[in-house]
Parts: sequence; structure tokens; C-alpha cells
Amino acid sequence: MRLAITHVTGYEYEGEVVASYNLARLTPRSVGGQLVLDHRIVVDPGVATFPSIDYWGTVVHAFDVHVPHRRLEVTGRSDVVTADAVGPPADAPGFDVLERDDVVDQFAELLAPSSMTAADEVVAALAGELRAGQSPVETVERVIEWVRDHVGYERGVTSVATPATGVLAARRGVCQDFAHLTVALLRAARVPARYVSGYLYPLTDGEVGVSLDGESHAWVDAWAGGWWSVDPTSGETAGDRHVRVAHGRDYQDVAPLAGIYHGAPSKSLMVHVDLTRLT
Amino acid sequence: MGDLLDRYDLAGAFDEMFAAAGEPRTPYLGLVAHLETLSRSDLDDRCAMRDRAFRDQGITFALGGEEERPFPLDLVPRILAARDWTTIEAGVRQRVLALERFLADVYGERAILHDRVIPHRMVVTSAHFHREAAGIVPAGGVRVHVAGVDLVRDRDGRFRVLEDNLRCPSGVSYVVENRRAMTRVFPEMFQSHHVRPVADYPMRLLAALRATAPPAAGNNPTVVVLTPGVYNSAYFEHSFLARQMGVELVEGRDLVCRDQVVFMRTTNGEQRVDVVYRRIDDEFLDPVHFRPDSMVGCPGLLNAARAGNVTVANMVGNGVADDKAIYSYVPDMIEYYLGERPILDNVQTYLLEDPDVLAHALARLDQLVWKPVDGSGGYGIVIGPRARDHELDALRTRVLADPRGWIAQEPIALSTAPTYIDGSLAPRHLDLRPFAVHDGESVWVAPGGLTRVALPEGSLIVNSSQGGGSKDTWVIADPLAPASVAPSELPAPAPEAIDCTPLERGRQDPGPLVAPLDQQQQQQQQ
Repeated sequence: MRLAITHVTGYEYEGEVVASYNLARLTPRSVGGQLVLDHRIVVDPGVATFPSIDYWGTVVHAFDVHVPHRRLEVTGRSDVVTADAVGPPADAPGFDVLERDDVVDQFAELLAPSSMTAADEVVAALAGELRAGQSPVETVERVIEWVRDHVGYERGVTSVATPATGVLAARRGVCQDFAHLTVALLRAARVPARYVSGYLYPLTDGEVGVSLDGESHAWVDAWAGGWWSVDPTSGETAGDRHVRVAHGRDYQDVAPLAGIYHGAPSKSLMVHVDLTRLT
Repeated sequence: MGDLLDRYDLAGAFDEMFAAAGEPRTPYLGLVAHLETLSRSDLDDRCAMRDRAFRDQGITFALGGEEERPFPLDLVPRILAARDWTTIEAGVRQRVLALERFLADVYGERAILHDRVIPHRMVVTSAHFHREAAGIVPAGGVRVHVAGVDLVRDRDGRFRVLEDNLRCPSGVSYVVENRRAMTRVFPEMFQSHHVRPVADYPMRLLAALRATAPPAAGNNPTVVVLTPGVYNSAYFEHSFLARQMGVELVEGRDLVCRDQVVFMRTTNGEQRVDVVYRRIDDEFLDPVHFRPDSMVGCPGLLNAARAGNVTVANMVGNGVADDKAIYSYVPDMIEYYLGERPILDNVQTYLLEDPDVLAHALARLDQLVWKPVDGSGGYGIVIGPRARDHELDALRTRVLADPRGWIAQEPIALSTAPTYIDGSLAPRHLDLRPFAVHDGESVWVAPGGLTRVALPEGSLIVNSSQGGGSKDTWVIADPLAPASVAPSELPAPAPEAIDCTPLERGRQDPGPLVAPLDQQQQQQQQ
């Protein structure tokens, strides 16, 4: 599927802001079967952006704004051919392989808890239960199933800072929360896992040329002999409706827009994603 | 004649001054002879001179909320024989070069991890592995501009590395000021010993900072010293280095980054900055990437470094290489990157991730030294043989909760040296922190370094933040090597006029000497 994506994000302030430093992660890359045909990023007020590739392989645009402004708007436009869904690896290995020293060492940072995916005793016990007697692939399936059965999709209950343990306690949340809890459970079950950020085209049979309101979306990569992208919000393998932008240990490694500034408090954060099917 | 050394009992460790009771080691013959001419009241007079000299310079030190007092310099110098110094110098240089390569590697290709010389997990679980610095190629090619490598001397007199300090190693101002105070208090001792100078450290540092400036800076790069401010415990050193180097001392609010270029606000407008010698910890340095609540940092600095527009010294992320668990792999790094055998050995260290090692170490809880891997300044260290039962119980709980967070080491006796305590000279344990400066071409090690002394009897904790003192540290020049001299230190205006033969070699009279003007005045005031 070829998609045109427009992601507008930014802040409105209660007064003037004079010095603002930001990092934007809004740029999909051509990886894993995904092909990026075009991408541009525009900042208003107009400033130059400084692109680089971060530790996780994500494109980061840094920019600073020194003219007084009351509104900061960043727009990322991408033209992307999405990758087809790839299910769990054939001949996926068992936990004997996943728990081998060299494998554990290679994935150390994706097995260790991160600040937003720290496991408490409840998470650890649940992970042990879900994993018992299962293969790694089955463990991933059971974790996703459990999360979908026990966590309700609901906006406004959690915040951008809610960790996995908070999601488990609240039993409600949005895609970020589903992804954090899934990652935390998988890591506690000794399955390497990472948090993925990107976009989801909302329809399975959308019309070409019609633009749809979309979302900044989050899902999960699990390693079971190979990477397997699964979307705990929908319960499906991530496929051609998913556009990958970044992955990392948790949200903090992939935040689409983060920054600091001097000046008046921020009044509101705007996020608008528009997705148009091109083929 | 004095009797200061009459009741000097060797403490059982390697003593720097005495091979056995009443038998001074060769490099100390002249010093011992001189000390024997001094009485207790002579030494007390010199102590008063020392305290006045430090107070006049504003070199004071506050411990845990107490009032400021002069920096505790013991008046008996520590002497390093030329041969020992040659080993230390080569060993520190080798270590710095290997650590420099390691940092370039872990923030770049990560070859040493792919080759499984060091486990991935040791690096990626280090609290000071800063992914924010990944992929940055420093404009001047250097990450470790300044290193402080802590050495101790074991029972056999061999120097061993206790830890590396590659972030913001401090203490070099005391090296320079201790020497300055000593030349005033004991001018006659510098007449009889050819001590290699340390006063050129700031110029060496400045040269290295300039040499590693971004190429676009041209021939006259602008260097600044970035301090967290007057309330930082090392502020004296920050201002000292800025003054001695003749560069601006700035705080974060004096700098501004625009489009990945760093500027300094001056009364004449903004001036581009090429090199930031920063004495702010990574976590507070750039709120764009690290703690957003930091008020002392410079937003945008790291991206300016990434863009190659500024040199940050030392580079962000160096802490991964001085993590105390990574430390145990430094000998492997030396072999891997340099193809050499380590010149200086580590202290025997146990990594506690392996359950068997952990069990063995915990069984010897009260015999080993326990250190948090990301600590510095001596905080959190538990010395098993000295710890009380409840401290050991608490330690066991903490280690079991976080084995990666701790290392255990075999205790090192730490050498002793005579130290003036309550009217007599008594053995006190000490270590040595030589300072190395890397300019991208070569590593220069300042002759000597900071000798830190644990002042309480029997104590092994030398950190000044824990009540340690210091000693002026002398490297006696090899009489065959060409002398390198700093005029400000020499007790004569014309170096070539000095009889360079150290007293102990021939035990001859050092001959007539001309003292510089300021020292003459000092003596006249007595």
C-alpha cells in the first residue's frame, strides 16, 4: 500500500516563547520492506533543521527557534510504500535458544526493563504464568491476547508518562499503553521486545485518494528467532497499514516531538495525522 | 636536630619512604636528611606558612557543611623515583589510548562487542552509556582530553590501577597549588632536589584543547571553561584553570547555541566558541538531551558537537569507560586495540553477574572491598574488613538486589608515607592520581599527580570529599634526561645554572643557588 502521510504536531503557548530547542522523530526510513519515496519536514516559524541518525537508527531532526513566537508547528510529510505483514519466523526456536548466553547478551538492552517498562512483582508473576509451557512465539501470542482481554481501549485515563505497571493497574489505556505493557510482559518472560512508533492507516479497504484522519500509533517488535511485529491494540501482525518511524526501549526513545524552551507555559499540544491511500 | 622520625613505626604496608625501620629508600635520602634537621616547632612554623599561603590564594575547602579551611596539604612530599615514574607514565599513556579507542568504538562500530571481547550487556546496562552520543565523531578526534587514573601501591610496591576517571577528573589545581605552596614553605628542599615541574599543566591543557578544535576554527580557536557555578565544590579549580589558560570562565547562561553553533555572550556582542572545556556532568550539560530541568547546562551543545562545530572536552558519554565493571576489561581493551600487554595491572576485581562468582564473593563479604559501579568520590564504598555487621547485612541486601551495580575487589594494603599528624610523623595510607592530557597526537602525563592521603589512622579512604589530605608529589628528574623546566617553579632564574644532580646520588652539597625574588621576600619576612 502506498500512503501519503501528513503529521502536524506542535504547541500553542499562553504568551511569547523566545528560545526553543527541539528534536523531531517524524521521518520514516526505508527498512524491512518499507520504502520511503519522499519525505520533508517543515517548521513554522521557519528555521533550518539538522538531521542525524540516532542510536536506534531513527532519523532525528534537531531545530531551534529564537524568534519570538506563540505557536510552534512541525509538519512531516511522507510518501511511503508500506511493507507486507510478516508473521512469526518459520522454525522459530525455543526458549533454550532465547536463553542462551550469547542471545541474552546480544539483546541485553531489550530484555532489561526501561523506565516505562519496569516490571513489578505483578508483571513478573503474570509473565511467568503466560510463558509456562509455551514456546516463545506462543508466549508472544498469549501476552497479546491477555493484554487485549484485560485492558480496555480508552482515551484520557492514562498520560504520555504512564508506565506499564500503571497500565496494568488501570486496566485501560491507548495504543502507547498497550505497547508498553506488552513490552514489559515480554521482557519479563525473557522475550526480547522493543517499542515501535509510527502510523496506522485506519481502514482495511480505504478508498484511493481519500484522506483519512489517522493517529500516531505504537506497536511492538518481539524477537523469537527473528523480529516479529505485532500490534497489541488490534491483536494482529503489523502489516501494510502500518508505517514504521522509530523503535527503541520505550516511548522515551522514540518521542515524535520533544523539546525545551524559555517563555510562557504551553497551552496545548496539537497532533494531527492525515493519511491518504495513493495506490 | 629534630626527632620527628624517631618514633616512626612502619604500618605493615609498603612504605614510600622507608624500606625498613631507619632505612630510607634511595630517592628519599636527601629528604630524610633534611627532615632530621627540623624540630617539631620548625615544622609547625612551616605549617603556619603553608596555611597562610593557601588562605592568601583563596584555596580553601569545606567538608560537609563545616566552615572553609585551608586545603589539607601535608608538608612531607611524596617522591617518585625516575624509574617508577617511567613505568607509570607509559602505563597511563597506554591506558588512555586504549580507553580512547574503546569510546570511539562503543559509540561507533562497536567492534569490540561484536567480537565478544566485552559482553554487550556490560556496555548497554552501564548507567553512563549515553546513547545520545552514539554516532558523534568528535571534531578533533578526541574524547578523553583529560584523564585522572587512580593508582595504588600494593604490599610489594607495585603500582596498580584502582580506577579510571574520564568524565571531569578534578584535583589538578591542587597539584599546581601544592607545588607553589611547597616552594614557598621549603625553598631549600627544591634547591637540593631536581623536581620535575607541574606548573605548565594549564598550558599543556590549553594546547590540547586548541589542537582538538574543529578545523574550521582556524589558527586561533576560542576556548572556554564551562562551570556549573560558584556553588560547585570544584569551582576553585574551574576558575584556576580558566585564569591560568587565559580563557573565559563561563556558565551555561553565558552560552547560546543557534543552528548547531555555540556562541558566548560578551559585552561586545556574541563571540563564536570552538572548544568547551566543561566541568558539568553529562546529565546536566544539555537539557535538550539530558535532564530537561538542568539550569546550569547549555541547550543544543550536544547537537553542535554532533555537527562538528564545537569540541566538547571531555566528550559526553565517557562514563561508560570508567564504569567500575567495565574497568575489569581494560586489560582486554589494551590487548584488543593496541596489541600490547598492560604495563599497569588492575586490582583483582570480581564481576557479580555470574551467580557462582556472586556466591563466592558474598561468602567473603567481610574480606573484600565493595564499590558501586557508577560511583565516584569514594561514596558508597564498603571495606569488608572494616565494616560493622549491620553494614555488611545492608550491603548484602543491596548487592543481591543489583549485582550489576556492584563490584568486589581484593583489598589492597595501600602504601604508606610519613605524614605530619599531631606533632609527629606517622604512616598514613595514600594513592596517586596522575593527570593525562590527550591532544590527539600524543598523551602527556603531568609529572607526579595528586597524592591523596587518608588522614585518620588506618583509613584507606583518600578522597578529599571524605576528609582526605594531599601531598606534593615529586618526580625526580633523571639526570641523564634533558630537563624540562617551568621557570615559576625553579629556585633559580636560569635553569642551566643549576646543579641538577639530586642530592641523594652523591650526597654532595647542592652548591650555591640563586633564589627567585618572591622566595627571597618570603624568607625575609620570617
